[in-house]
Amino acid sequence: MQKRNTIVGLTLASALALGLSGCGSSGSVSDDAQKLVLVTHDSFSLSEGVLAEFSKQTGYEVEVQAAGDGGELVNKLVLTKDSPLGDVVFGIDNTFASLAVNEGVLEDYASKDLTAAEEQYLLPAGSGREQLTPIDNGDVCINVDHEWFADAGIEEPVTLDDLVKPEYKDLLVAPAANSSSPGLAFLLATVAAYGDDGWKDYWQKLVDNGVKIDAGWSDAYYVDFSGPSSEGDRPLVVSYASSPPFEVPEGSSVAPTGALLDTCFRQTEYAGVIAGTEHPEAAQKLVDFLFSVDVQNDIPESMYVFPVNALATLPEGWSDYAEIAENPYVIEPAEIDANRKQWISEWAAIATP
Amino acid sequence: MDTALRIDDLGVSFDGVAAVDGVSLEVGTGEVLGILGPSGSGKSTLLRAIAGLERLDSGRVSWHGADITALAVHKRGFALMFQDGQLFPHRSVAQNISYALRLARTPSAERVAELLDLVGLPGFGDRRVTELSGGEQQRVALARSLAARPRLLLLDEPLSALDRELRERLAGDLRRILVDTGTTAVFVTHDQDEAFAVSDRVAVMMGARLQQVGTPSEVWRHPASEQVARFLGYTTVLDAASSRAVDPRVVGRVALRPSAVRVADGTPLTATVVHSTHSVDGWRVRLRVDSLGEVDAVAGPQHPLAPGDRVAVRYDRAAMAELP
Amino acid sequence: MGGDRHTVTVPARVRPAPGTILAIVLGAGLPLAFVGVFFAWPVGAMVGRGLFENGALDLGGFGEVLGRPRTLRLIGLTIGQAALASVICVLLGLPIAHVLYRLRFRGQRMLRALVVLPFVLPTVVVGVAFRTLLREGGLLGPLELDGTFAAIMLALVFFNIAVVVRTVGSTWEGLDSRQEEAARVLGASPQRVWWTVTVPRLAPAIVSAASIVFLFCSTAFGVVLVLGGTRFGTIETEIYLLTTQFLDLRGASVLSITQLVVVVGVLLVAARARGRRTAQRRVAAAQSSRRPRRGDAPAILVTLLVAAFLALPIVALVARSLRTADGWGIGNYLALGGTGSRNALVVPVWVALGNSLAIAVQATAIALVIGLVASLVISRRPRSPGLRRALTGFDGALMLPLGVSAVTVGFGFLITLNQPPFDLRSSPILIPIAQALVALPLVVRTILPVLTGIDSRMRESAAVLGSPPWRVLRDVDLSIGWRPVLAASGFAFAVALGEFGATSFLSRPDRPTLPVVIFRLIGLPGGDNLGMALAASVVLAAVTVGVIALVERLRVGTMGAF
Repeated sequence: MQKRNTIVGLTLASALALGLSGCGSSGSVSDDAQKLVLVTHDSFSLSEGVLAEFSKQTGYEVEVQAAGDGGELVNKLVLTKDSPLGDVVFGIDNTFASLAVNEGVLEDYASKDLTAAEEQYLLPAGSGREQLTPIDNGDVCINVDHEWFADAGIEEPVTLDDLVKPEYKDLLVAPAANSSSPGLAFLLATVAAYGDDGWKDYWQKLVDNGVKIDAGWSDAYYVDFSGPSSEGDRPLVVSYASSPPFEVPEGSSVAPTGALLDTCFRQTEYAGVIAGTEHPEAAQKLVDFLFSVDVQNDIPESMYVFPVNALATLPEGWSDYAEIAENPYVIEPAEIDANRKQWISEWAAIATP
Repeated sequence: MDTALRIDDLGVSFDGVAAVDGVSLEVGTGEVLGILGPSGSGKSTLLRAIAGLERLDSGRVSWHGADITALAVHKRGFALMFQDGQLFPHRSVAQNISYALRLARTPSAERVAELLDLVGLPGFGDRRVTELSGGEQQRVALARSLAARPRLLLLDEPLSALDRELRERLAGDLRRILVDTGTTAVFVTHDQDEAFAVSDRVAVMMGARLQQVGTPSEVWRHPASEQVARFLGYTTVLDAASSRAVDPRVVGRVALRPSAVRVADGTPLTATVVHSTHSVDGWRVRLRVDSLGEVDAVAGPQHPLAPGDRVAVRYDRAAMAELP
Repeated sequence: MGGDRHTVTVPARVRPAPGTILAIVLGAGLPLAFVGVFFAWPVGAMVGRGLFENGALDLGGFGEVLGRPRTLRLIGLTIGQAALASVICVLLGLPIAHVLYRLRFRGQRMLRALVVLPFVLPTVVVGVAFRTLLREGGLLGPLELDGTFAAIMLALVFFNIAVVVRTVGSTWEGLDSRQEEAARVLGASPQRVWWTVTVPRLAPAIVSAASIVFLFCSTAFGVVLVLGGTRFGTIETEIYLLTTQFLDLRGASVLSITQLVVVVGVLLVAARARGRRTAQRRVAAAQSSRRPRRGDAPAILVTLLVAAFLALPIVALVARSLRTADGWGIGNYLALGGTGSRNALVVPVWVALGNSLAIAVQATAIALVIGLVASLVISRRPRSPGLRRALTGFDGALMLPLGVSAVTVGFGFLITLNQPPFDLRSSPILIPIAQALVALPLVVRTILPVLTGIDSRMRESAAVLGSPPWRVLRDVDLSIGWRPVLAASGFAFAVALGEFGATSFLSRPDRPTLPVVIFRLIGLPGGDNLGMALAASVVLAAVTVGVIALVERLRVGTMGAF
């Protein structure tokens, strides 16, 4: 008994020693190199060595700090205006851009490498055109399970209007607009499609037609969608235009799922220089770097979204299975900022009574 | 005998209520002083105050003339033994006993063995204290207290948790050990048999105050007040007139134990039985003695007694005491 | 007898040993400073941001926010589901406590350990497991519970039944059964004995457990988010929404304060009940337990059913994790050595596990040192009632982190810990600190009862024998308390391993912990990622179980008992 307890004690003590030794090795960014802090959202990822390129070019090490999803990210920047979290921010999307600009958390810098080809991604003047550089584009669209519809012998829906038709009853699952950013994007799509007066009626029809609302995207996609890597039974889900390539099995050339391009909402992510940074020139270089072709080429495989740089090349297979919508729904960022709260609470009253 | 411990006008109170009130005592070197009193009389508090565990409201504690009132508990060189031993669990008997020795940095296996012999538990050194019986635990506690030859041994109701037979046996052993080792001791109890068996002198404490101090026989024969007498088991206290009727020589009042009046045959004193109950060796009766009034009495088993019976009685002077 | 002199001067007091004052100041100061800097200050700052409009106190927010119908509905829902879950936990927990702590049979200790498990499992894991179980097509799919109030109830009971079982059980174990026997002999039927003798004696433990369960349920976040879907929210999820989505700090502050008021109220109730319990006499467990009898059948049945219920989500999780694209196999586990399909992760899962373990060790060290020091201080019994009240307040203050939203704390860190000497905003030590904040109350609840149970006369014996105060601490308190200290460290370790709320808020992408990785894998497209997430969940659960099982060997009943 005594001996056993001694063993337990020794085990815990040595674990303690091991853990504390890890203390010293963390945060091992060397002090003599200059450091830039890139504040971004949780889904930021680049292949190994990509950021090291930046260090080689400029001598600045990049430290990445995750700060939650899109909305949380902007809110944190606003909260810490007086003592900025970092030097560069990446991950502000068009639904929150206006808020960031109005609160003055960004410096006036947009990458000088932008060309006319990227015009469609630029924000309007006064809503971020001067402060934000587009980096990637991940439109939110309805994803459809081709196999399910083939088996059931039903024609797939094409537009938002189709979703409320009786033959598609109980087939749609969507994440909530108040707790998920693709969910919010889908809501904005309907607002854009039906206008301030009509979207509520549309949603009421959706609810009557049996739409299932999940708390998060992963619940909707993995638990309720009927796709090959999911285990649900609903063949229509709100997801990204870039989701279908991932469902393609190794070696196959048939995509089991696809995106309904007429239902997409434009969702672009931007990078900008945080106001109050101590390294403005280096920060600007980092923004340029994120827009550079090498990084843009890496983005699809790392973050599952499309690059915006017209000179970037998509990885093999992407162009076959993933398309960018030509006419996605768009709403002015300023309008989103002004009405977001009200739209969400009205939506909640209808969709989650 | 020179004075070892001296207490002057000690007072301790809790939340405004006095637990010890103006107590003054002296204990000589090698003397065993018993503090006898009912529960709640403040005797344990007095003991703890001597050890330094209670804050004094008034008074002084001195050791061989030096004032130790402000001396820290662990520096006094005393030892304190509780009713339930308070041995350190999960340690062996030997480890418990040698605790004080280790504190003084003089560990000694021989001393431990010597003490185990002294308390009558030879060879118990390696046993776990959780395996011992109550009596054995108290012996070990005693050994632990004596190990470092304390200047003063304090015992708080050391035998109260044991059963009667064990208590009687251990009381004798305790006295023997204390005398043989020449330990100055103060011990506290509510059991007068124990107090009288173990102590050189007895101090009776009631209601936070000292009522009387003296040798056991002094206290026994001459209780200082009716209150003390009743505590000591004198159930009846006669008024002046009745006292002289019982014994013309007395000046104060007479206190009677139940056994002071015995039912006998053929004596000139007569009484009427009021009621009677069986006892271990006969009867305990309440009699109305003709010249005295109602008193408690005893009778042997051979006298059948019913209320109303007339009996003859005699006095047993050994069971009487004179009060001032 | 009489003294020769009547002293009127106040007698000299025994001077405390040198360093005692310093030790007490440090002992109380260190935990207070820790909770003050890393909890009270950030929370206060967040709440202040919301209530102070341009430097002036603006309490109008209270009326406005609390008046919103949505808010009222949420408060009602929060309290309602917490109350209902508490009642269910008590009703189910009592028979289980009886079976596990009053009867004696083989495998009992293992069952006791199993009961604690749900409590320490990460919310992420449990959320996924329950979702998998309840949705259409899952094992319990036909019950159609997905997204319903009942689903939340199930998950809350799953998490919290351990609290009732351990708290009531450990008290019940020490109750002398002779009072019940006396009543039975006097002619009382078993039901009467139960209601008139046993229940009143168990009442303090039941109240204590129920109030803690109420606390945990009313502040539950991950569970409600995952399972409640969109219809059910609590004050906690609303604070999260208001802060992260709308930056409505005013609303969030009002709700935080409301939540704090509820939490403090519940903690007071629990503390009162705890105080009544320590006054009861305890007997040895061997004395109070007996072999099972026929009359115990209903209780045993309930225990088995609940045990099956507790095992079901875990079993479902393990089963699902063994399903790969090619059928059954351990492919998902083998994939843990990589970084997921298409570079889902920055580091392989095993590295994340290593990070988790290292960070948890640091958090455990912090929580243990501070918790032990706090327990040593709180277990002293000072003479003056004022000081005793202060100690009780101290104890309560340490419990507060259990009841405040991780979002509020996390955001609070951002706006307060940004200036020297506390410029820790981007320091890696912040995560262990946040985890230690959550583990600290649990450590104190494990160690403190054992220390207060030490008879002060044992300390006095040692002191009179010549032991200076620091040595008394070592020879009495620590020599009796080392087992609960070890148990507390294991418990804190398990809790820190699974901590998700604060960690996800603060963690760095290059040094993720396992729960963060699991959450990330679940959130990314690619079927392999889901399989890996499930396999990683099972690994995390297994490590947690292993630690708890190891700690259970120490047989410290106060662990998980409130």
